[in-house]
Amino acid sequence: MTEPRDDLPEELLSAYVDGELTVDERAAVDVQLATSQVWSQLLGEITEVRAAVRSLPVPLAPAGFWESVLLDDPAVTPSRLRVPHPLRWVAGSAAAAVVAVAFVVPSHHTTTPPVATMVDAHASRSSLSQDPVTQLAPIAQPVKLAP
Amino acid sequence: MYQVAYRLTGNPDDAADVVQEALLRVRKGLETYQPGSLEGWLARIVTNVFLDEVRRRRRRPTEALPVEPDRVLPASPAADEASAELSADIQAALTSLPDEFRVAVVLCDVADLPYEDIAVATGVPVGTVRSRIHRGRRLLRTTLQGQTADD
Repeated sequence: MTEPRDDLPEELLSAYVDGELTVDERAAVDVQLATSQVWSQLLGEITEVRAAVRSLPVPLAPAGFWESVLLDDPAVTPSRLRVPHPLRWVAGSAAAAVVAVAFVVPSHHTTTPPVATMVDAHASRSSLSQDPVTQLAPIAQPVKLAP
Repeated sequence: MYQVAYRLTGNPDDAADVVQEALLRVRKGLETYQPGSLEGWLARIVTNVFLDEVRRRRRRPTEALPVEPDRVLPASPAADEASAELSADIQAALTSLPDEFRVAVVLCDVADLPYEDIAVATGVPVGTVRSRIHRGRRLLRTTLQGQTADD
Protein backbone atom coordinates (compact mmCIF):
# COMPACT_ATOMS: atom_id res chain seq x y z
CA MET A 1 0.00 0.00 0.00
CA THR A 2 1.21 3.50 -0.83
CA GLU A 3 2.36 5.59 2.13
CA PRO A 4 0.86 9.02 2.85
CA ARG A 5 2.94 11.83 1.41
CA ASP A 6 3.56 15.18 2.97
CA ASP A 7 4.36 16.75 -0.38
CA LEU A 8 1.09 15.82 -2.05
CA PRO A 9 -0.48 19.08 -3.29
CA GLU A 10 -3.95 19.59 -1.88
CA GLU A 11 -5.18 20.91 -5.23
CA LEU A 12 -5.40 17.27 -6.22
CA LEU A 13 -8.57 17.19 -4.15
CA SER A 14 -10.52 19.33 -6.61
CA ALA A 15 -9.27 17.22 -9.49
CA TYR A 16 -10.21 14.18 -7.42
CA VAL A 17 -13.86 15.18 -7.12
CA ASP A 18 -13.89 16.24 -10.77
CA GLY A 19 -12.57 12.86 -11.89
CA GLU A 20 -9.53 14.48 -13.49
CA LEU A 21 -6.75 12.47 -11.85
CA THR A 22 -4.63 9.70 -13.26
CA VAL A 23 -4.94 6.28 -11.70
CA ASP A 24 -1.73 6.78 -9.73
CA GLU A 25 -2.74 10.21 -8.51
CA ARG A 26 -6.12 8.95 -7.44
CA ALA A 27 -4.54 6.11 -5.51
CA ALA A 28 -2.26 8.57 -3.75
CA VAL A 29 -5.18 10.79 -2.79
CA ASP A 30 -7.15 7.79 -1.54
CA VAL A 31 -4.28 6.93 0.78
CA GLN A 32 -4.03 10.50 1.94
CA LEU A 33 -7.74 10.67 2.67
CA ALA A 34 -7.60 7.45 4.64
CA THR A 35 -4.88 8.76 6.89
CA SER A 36 -5.43 12.50 7.12
CA GLN A 37 -8.39 14.06 8.86
CA VAL A 38 -7.40 17.44 7.47
CA TRP A 39 -7.62 16.12 3.93
CA SER A 40 -10.93 14.45 4.63
CA GLN A 41 -12.37 17.65 6.01
CA LEU A 42 -11.02 19.64 3.07
CA LEU A 43 -12.53 17.13 0.67
CA GLY A 44 -15.91 17.68 2.30
CA GLU A 45 -15.61 21.44 1.94
CA ILE A 46 -14.52 21.28 -1.69
CA THR A 47 -17.33 18.90 -2.51
CA GLU A 48 -19.83 21.18 -0.82
CA VAL A 49 -18.68 24.30 -2.67
CA ARG A 50 -18.59 22.47 -5.97
CA ALA A 51 -22.15 21.24 -5.46
CA ALA A 52 -23.30 24.73 -4.51
CA VAL A 53 -21.97 26.30 -7.71
CA ARG A 54 -23.35 23.47 -9.81
CA SER A 55 -26.76 23.89 -8.22
CA LEU A 56 -27.07 27.50 -9.33
CA PRO A 57 -30.23 28.03 -11.37
CA VAL A 58 -29.99 28.57 -15.10
CA PRO A 59 -30.34 32.29 -15.75
CA LEU A 60 -32.71 33.40 -18.45
CA ALA A 61 -31.66 35.96 -21.01
CA PRO A 62 -33.73 39.16 -20.99
CA ALA A 63 -36.99 38.88 -22.86
CA GLY A 64 -36.50 39.22 -26.62
CA PHE A 65 -32.73 39.03 -26.33
CA TRP A 66 -32.15 36.09 -28.64
CA GLU A 67 -34.64 37.36 -31.17
CA SER A 68 -32.94 40.72 -31.33
CA VAL A 69 -29.47 39.24 -31.49
CA LEU A 70 -30.08 36.41 -33.90
CA LEU A 71 -32.87 37.58 -36.16
CA ASP A 72 -33.30 41.32 -36.21
CA ASP A 73 -29.76 42.60 -36.38
CA PRO A 74 -28.14 41.68 -39.71
CA ALA A 75 -24.77 42.72 -38.37
CA VAL A 76 -24.96 40.05 -35.73
CA THR A 77 -27.00 37.38 -37.42
CA PRO A 78 -24.78 34.61 -38.70
CA SER A 79 -25.18 34.29 -42.46
CA ARG A 80 -26.27 30.68 -42.15
CA LEU A 81 -29.29 31.87 -40.21
CA ARG A 82 -30.24 34.28 -42.96
CA VAL A 83 -30.52 31.80 -45.79
CA PRO A 84 -34.12 32.76 -46.63
CA HIS A 85 -33.13 36.29 -47.57
CA PRO A 86 -31.68 35.54 -51.03
CA LEU A 87 -34.62 33.28 -51.72
CA ARG A 88 -36.93 36.06 -50.74
CA TRP A 89 -35.13 38.34 -53.19
CA VAL A 90 -35.45 35.85 -55.98
CA ALA A 91 -39.12 35.31 -55.24
CA GLY A 92 -39.69 39.05 -55.18
CA SER A 93 -37.94 39.49 -58.48
CA ALA A 94 -39.97 36.75 -60.06
CA ALA A 95 -43.18 38.26 -58.78
CA ALA A 96 -42.17 41.65 -60.12
CA ALA A 97 -41.42 40.11 -63.49
CA VAL A 98 -44.84 38.49 -63.60
CA VAL A 99 -46.50 41.77 -62.73
CA ALA A 100 -44.51 43.55 -65.42
CA VAL A 101 -45.48 41.03 -68.05
CA ALA A 102 -49.10 41.11 -67.01
CA PHE A 103 -49.68 44.81 -66.60
CA VAL A 104 -46.82 46.90 -67.90
CA VAL A 105 -45.77 45.43 -71.21
CA PRO A 106 -48.27 46.60 -73.85
CA SER A 107 -50.36 43.82 -75.20
CA HIS A 108 -50.90 43.38 -78.96
CA HIS A 109 -54.34 41.99 -79.55
CA THR A 110 -54.21 41.25 -83.24
CA THR A 111 -56.96 39.59 -85.19
CA THR A 112 -56.76 38.21 -88.63
CA PRO A 113 -60.16 38.39 -90.31
CA PRO A 114 -60.59 35.98 -93.18
CA VAL A 115 -60.67 38.81 -95.69
CA ALA A 116 -59.69 36.66 -98.61
CA THR A 117 -62.42 34.14 -97.85
CA MET A 118 -65.01 36.88 -97.47
CA VAL A 119 -63.96 38.54 -100.71
CA ASP A 120 -64.13 35.28 -102.55
CA ALA A 121 -67.57 34.50 -101.09
CA HIS A 122 -68.83 37.94 -101.98
CA ALA A 123 -67.47 37.68 -105.47
CA SER A 124 -69.16 34.36 -105.99
CA ARG A 125 -72.52 35.50 -104.62
CA SER A 126 -72.49 38.81 -106.48
CA SER A 127 -71.58 37.15 -109.73
CA LEU A 128 -74.54 34.83 -109.34
CA SER A 129 -77.07 37.48 -108.28
CA GLN A 130 -75.65 40.25 -110.45
CA ASP A 131 -76.11 42.56 -107.50
CA PRO A 132 -72.71 43.28 -105.96
CA VAL A 133 -73.93 46.16 -103.75
CA THR A 134 -76.73 44.26 -101.99
CA GLN A 135 -74.53 41.30 -101.41
CA LEU A 136 -72.09 43.43 -99.51
CA ALA A 137 -74.47 43.56 -96.54
CA PRO A 138 -73.65 40.16 -94.99
CA ILE A 139 -70.01 41.08 -94.54
CA ALA A 140 -70.60 44.66 -93.52
CA GLN A 141 -70.64 45.73 -89.92
CA PRO A 142 -74.10 46.74 -88.76
CA VAL A 143 -74.11 50.43 -88.13
CA LYS A 144 -76.70 52.42 -86.35
CA LEU A 145 -76.85 55.98 -87.48
CA ALA A 146 -77.86 58.66 -85.12
CA PRO A 147 -81.12 60.38 -86.11
CA MET B 1 -23.36 30.78 -23.71
CA TYR B 2 -25.61 33.11 -21.80
CA GLN B 3 -25.37 31.04 -18.65
CA VAL B 4 -21.57 31.10 -18.67
CA ALA B 5 -21.53 34.79 -19.50
CA TYR B 6 -23.97 35.50 -16.71
CA ARG B 7 -21.95 33.60 -14.11
CA LEU B 8 -18.77 35.32 -15.26
CA THR B 9 -20.13 38.84 -15.28
CA GLY B 10 -22.66 38.53 -12.48
CA ASN B 11 -25.34 40.63 -14.14
CA PRO B 12 -27.73 40.28 -17.08
CA ASP B 13 -26.72 43.41 -18.98
CA ASP B 14 -23.04 42.57 -19.12
CA ALA B 15 -23.87 38.96 -19.88
CA ALA B 16 -25.96 40.09 -22.86
CA ASP B 17 -23.12 42.28 -24.11
CA VAL B 18 -20.64 39.43 -23.77
CA VAL B 19 -22.89 37.01 -25.65
CA GLN B 20 -23.54 39.51 -28.42
CA GLU B 21 -19.85 40.18 -28.92
CA ALA B 22 -19.10 36.47 -28.67
CA LEU B 23 -21.61 35.71 -31.43
CA LEU B 24 -19.87 38.22 -33.66
CA ARG B 25 -16.57 36.48 -33.04
CA VAL B 26 -18.18 33.11 -33.61
CA ARG B 27 -19.35 34.27 -37.02
CA LYS B 28 -15.93 35.62 -37.89
CA GLY B 29 -14.21 32.49 -36.68
CA LEU B 30 -16.64 29.97 -38.11
CA GLU B 31 -14.57 29.40 -41.24
CA THR B 32 -11.45 28.68 -39.24
CA TYR B 33 -13.16 26.45 -36.69
CA GLN B 34 -11.44 23.11 -36.43
CA PRO B 35 -13.62 20.13 -35.60
CA GLY B 36 -13.21 19.37 -31.93
CA SER B 37 -14.93 20.40 -28.75
CA LEU B 38 -17.56 22.89 -29.84
CA GLU B 39 -18.34 23.66 -26.21
CA GLY B 40 -14.67 24.33 -25.54
CA TRP B 41 -14.42 26.58 -28.59
CA LEU B 42 -17.51 28.57 -27.60
CA ALA B 43 -16.33 28.75 -24.00
CA ARG B 44 -12.99 30.09 -25.15
CA ILE B 45 -14.69 32.80 -27.19
CA VAL B 46 -17.00 33.79 -24.34
CA THR B 47 -14.09 33.76 -21.91
CA ASN B 48 -11.93 35.87 -24.18
CA VAL B 49 -14.72 38.39 -24.65
CA PHE B 50 -15.23 38.52 -20.90
CA LEU B 51 -11.53 38.95 -20.14
CA ASP B 52 -11.19 41.60 -22.86
CA GLU B 53 -14.09 43.44 -21.32
CA VAL B 54 -12.58 43.13 -17.85
CA ARG B 55 -9.34 44.64 -19.09
CA ARG B 56 -11.24 47.39 -20.85
CA ARG B 57 -13.23 48.21 -17.76
CA ARG B 58 -10.38 47.81 -15.33
CA ARG B 59 -11.15 51.23 -13.93
CA ARG B 60 -14.79 50.33 -13.54
CA PRO B 61 -14.89 46.86 -12.02
CA THR B 62 -18.11 44.95 -12.34
CA GLU B 63 -20.09 44.75 -9.20
CA ALA B 64 -21.88 41.71 -8.02
CA LEU B 65 -25.53 42.19 -8.67
CA PRO B 66 -28.05 40.02 -6.94
CA VAL B 67 -29.48 37.26 -9.02
CA GLU B 68 -32.95 38.25 -10.10
CA PRO B 69 -35.19 35.48 -8.85
CA ASP B 70 -37.83 36.18 -11.47
CA ARG B 71 -35.32 35.83 -14.28
CA VAL B 72 -33.91 32.44 -13.40
CA LEU B 73 -35.22 28.96 -13.71
CA PRO B 74 -35.61 27.48 -10.25
CA ALA B 75 -33.28 24.60 -9.52
CA SER B 76 -36.31 22.61 -8.49
CA PRO B 77 -40.04 23.24 -8.30
CA ALA B 78 -39.65 23.63 -4.56
CA ALA B 79 -37.17 26.46 -4.92
CA ASP B 80 -38.16 29.13 -2.49
CA GLU B 81 -36.98 32.45 -1.23
CA ALA B 82 -34.22 30.89 0.84
CA SER B 83 -32.72 29.13 -2.17
CA ALA B 84 -32.91 32.33 -4.20
CA GLU B 85 -31.02 34.09 -1.46
CA LEU B 86 -28.44 31.33 -1.38
CA SER B 87 -28.03 31.59 -5.15
CA ALA B 88 -27.45 35.30 -4.82
CA ASP B 89 -24.82 34.66 -2.17
CA ILE B 90 -23.04 32.13 -4.32
CA GLN B 91 -23.13 34.46 -7.32
CA ALA B 92 -21.77 37.28 -5.19
CA ALA B 93 -18.98 35.03 -3.98
CA LEU B 94 -18.23 33.99 -7.55
CA THR B 95 -18.10 37.58 -8.71
CA SER B 96 -15.72 38.44 -5.89
CA LEU B 97 -13.16 35.89 -7.10
CA PRO B 98 -10.11 37.03 -9.04
CA ASP B 99 -10.92 36.79 -12.76
CA GLU B 100 -8.62 33.84 -13.46
CA PHE B 101 -10.11 31.78 -10.65
CA ARG B 102 -13.65 32.75 -11.56
CA VAL B 103 -13.16 31.76 -15.18
CA ALA B 104 -11.71 28.39 -14.17
CA VAL B 105 -14.50 27.63 -11.69
CA VAL B 106 -17.29 28.76 -14.01
CA LEU B 107 -15.96 26.80 -16.97
CA CYS B 108 -15.64 23.75 -14.75
CA ASP B 109 -18.80 23.90 -12.65
CA VAL B 110 -21.19 25.89 -14.84
CA ALA B 111 -20.07 24.98 -18.36
CA ASP B 112 -19.06 21.52 -17.14
CA LEU B 113 -15.95 21.44 -19.32
CA PRO B 114 -13.12 18.98 -18.73
CA TYR B 115 -9.80 20.42 -17.56
CA GLU B 116 -8.25 19.88 -20.97
CA ASP B 117 -10.88 22.06 -22.65
CA ILE B 118 -10.54 24.71 -19.95
CA ALA B 119 -6.80 24.73 -20.56
CA VAL B 120 -7.39 25.29 -24.26
CA ALA B 121 -10.04 27.93 -23.57
CA THR B 122 -7.82 29.88 -21.20
CA GLY B 123 -4.48 29.23 -22.86
CA VAL B 124 -2.79 27.81 -19.78
CA PRO B 125 -1.49 24.34 -18.91
CA VAL B 126 -3.81 21.78 -17.36
CA GLY B 127 -1.83 21.97 -14.13
CA THR B 128 -2.60 25.66 -13.87
CA VAL B 129 -6.27 24.96 -14.49
CA ARG B 130 -6.26 22.42 -11.70
CA SER B 131 -4.63 24.88 -9.34
CA ARG B 132 -6.98 27.74 -10.25
CA ILE B 133 -10.08 25.64 -9.79
CA HIS B 134 -8.96 24.44 -6.40
CA ARG B 135 -7.89 27.84 -5.17
CA GLY B 136 -11.06 29.34 -6.52
CA ARG B 137 -13.17 26.84 -4.63
CA ARG B 138 -11.26 27.45 -1.43
CA LEU B 139 -11.79 31.19 -1.79
CA LEU B 140 -15.46 30.61 -2.47
CA ARG B 141 -15.69 28.55 0.65
CA THR B 142 -14.05 31.27 2.70
CA THR B 143 -16.30 33.96 1.22
CA LEU B 144 -19.47 31.97 1.76
CA GLN B 145 -18.46 31.22 5.33
CA GLY B 146 -17.96 34.94 5.87
CA GLN B 147 -21.39 35.68 4.44
CA THR B 148 -22.94 33.12 6.75
CA ALA B 149 -21.15 34.60 9.73
CA ASP B 150 -22.39 38.08 8.74
CA ASP B 151 -25.95 36.79 8.69
